[in-house]
Amino acid sequence: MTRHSYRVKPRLRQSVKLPARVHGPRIVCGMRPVLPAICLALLMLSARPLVAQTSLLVYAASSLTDALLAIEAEFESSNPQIDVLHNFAASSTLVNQLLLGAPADVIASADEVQLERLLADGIVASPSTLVRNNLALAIPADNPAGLETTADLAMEGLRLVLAAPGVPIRSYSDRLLEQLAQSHDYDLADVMANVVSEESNVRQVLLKIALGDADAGFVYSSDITPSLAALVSTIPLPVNAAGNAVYPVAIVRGSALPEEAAGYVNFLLSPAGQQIMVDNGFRPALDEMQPFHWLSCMPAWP
Amino acid sequence: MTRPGTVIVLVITIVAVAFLLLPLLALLAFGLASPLAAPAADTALPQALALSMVTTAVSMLLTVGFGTPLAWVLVRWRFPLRRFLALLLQLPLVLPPAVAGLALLLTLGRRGLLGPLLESLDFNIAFTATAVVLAQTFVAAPFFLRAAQAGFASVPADIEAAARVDGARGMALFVHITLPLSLRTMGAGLTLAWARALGEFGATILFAGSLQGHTQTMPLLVYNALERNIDTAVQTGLILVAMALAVLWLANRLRAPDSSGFI
Repeated sequence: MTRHSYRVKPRLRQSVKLPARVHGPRIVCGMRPVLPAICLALLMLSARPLVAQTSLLVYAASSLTDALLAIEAEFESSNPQIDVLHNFAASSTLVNQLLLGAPADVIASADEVQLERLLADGIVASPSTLVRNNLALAIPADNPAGLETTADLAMEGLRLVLAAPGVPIRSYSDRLLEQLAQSHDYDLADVMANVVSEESNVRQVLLKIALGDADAGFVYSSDITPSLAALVSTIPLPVNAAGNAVYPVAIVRGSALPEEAAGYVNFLLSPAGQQIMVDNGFRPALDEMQPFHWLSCMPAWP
Repeated sequence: MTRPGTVIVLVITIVAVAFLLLPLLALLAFGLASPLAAPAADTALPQALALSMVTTAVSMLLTVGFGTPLAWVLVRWRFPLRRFLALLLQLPLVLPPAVAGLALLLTLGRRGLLGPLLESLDFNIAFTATAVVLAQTFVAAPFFLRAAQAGFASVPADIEAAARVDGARGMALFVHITLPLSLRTMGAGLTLAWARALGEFGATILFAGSLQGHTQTMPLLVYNALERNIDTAVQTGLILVAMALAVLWLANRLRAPDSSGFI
């Protein structure tokens, strides 16, 4: 190695350095304005979409993911000048982001508690009910823990996954677990001892079940989309406990597009919008009744 | 008389420094302003700190235990596709952590590649501290591996040849000649690997889940605490910043002045 370097080095130095001295500075001078110009052009391009469109920023609970993507397709086809952008996360996360000043036009939360935090801070006014949802106890399709009824939630060694405290599905499932502990003969502490993870949102809970790593977890019945039906099944819940999730929607006060936001919310609440939500497993906003009664009301919807 | 070029460079420098340091100052200011009684009230912080310390310590033991021989093989053995293998092993360095977490889930999860095997051995990884350690090791080990390879490669062949002439063979040659000469570089790599393991978030939250006292490490606590108590999040963040600073200082001290092979 060292033997080589004596012979190679001087030759390299000559062949590299000479041309560099002659051409080097001229090339650099010519390049100098080009690179910043390209950067600037790219920045301007990224800031301005090629087609004149306004972006409507919708913050939505992660359980609304599939439904609102279907809504987006429908809404944009009749409002081509509007591009709907979504921020899907746990409602508690979205509310925290809004409280810290994040920009948004519309917020759809999975529970009223989180939206009330925004009401108290004056970030939104006058919410309306978007949809209702049922809770479901999801298990992997092959049911590795052999769970049969909600009474088995207290059995030792079960791997139960919940969402983190504050996330709406956690608030709903905490309430449900208390009711179940009263109706069954077990201690709530035994169930809570089975919790192996507190996930950041309901879709993460479902992912852990779909992958088979968790034995059971509470999700919304609308979360078990057709694409997941092969991986996930459910344990029946008592009717009186299952159908109580209410999703409010509101226009953000600081919205730069209040008219477009109102148009979007109106579409969500219109019969066409509500039908898309129903197609995606939700119950319509006007339905105050329990899960098994609304089936008979269905034909009332156009 | 100042040239306009100097002024432009000065302005750019100030903007760049402010951009990089201002967020840390904001964190510090927020932390100093927040009530000091909060950490005692929140038991999550000491639990997360303890968990982070234990899991990163185990991760680093695994990294050194497996990484040292591997680096040696990659540097000293000659076999086909050696350079390509070395390159592949560095992939986790630049891989998004969420992808690493997903890959680990698909390998070690119950429905993963090795899931049935682990199940038959009654060995359950998901949602345990083992999963935290594996996630940390997966993303952090390449930092050490890279440094160890650079360290071994930088030992002059002449010195090893001279030692062989004096009768050193195999293990003795490695322990008395090669290892001492590459120790600084390896130490610097290990420090950076530890920092990466300590900061691991994406792979952990996907692969190990998050539960206070079991799998909730410091970065997971920062994320989780933001939902309920921003003071805890800020204090946890400040501890992590202090640790990062110490690691950076140590890594820079350990790095030999002439080696510019990594970072």
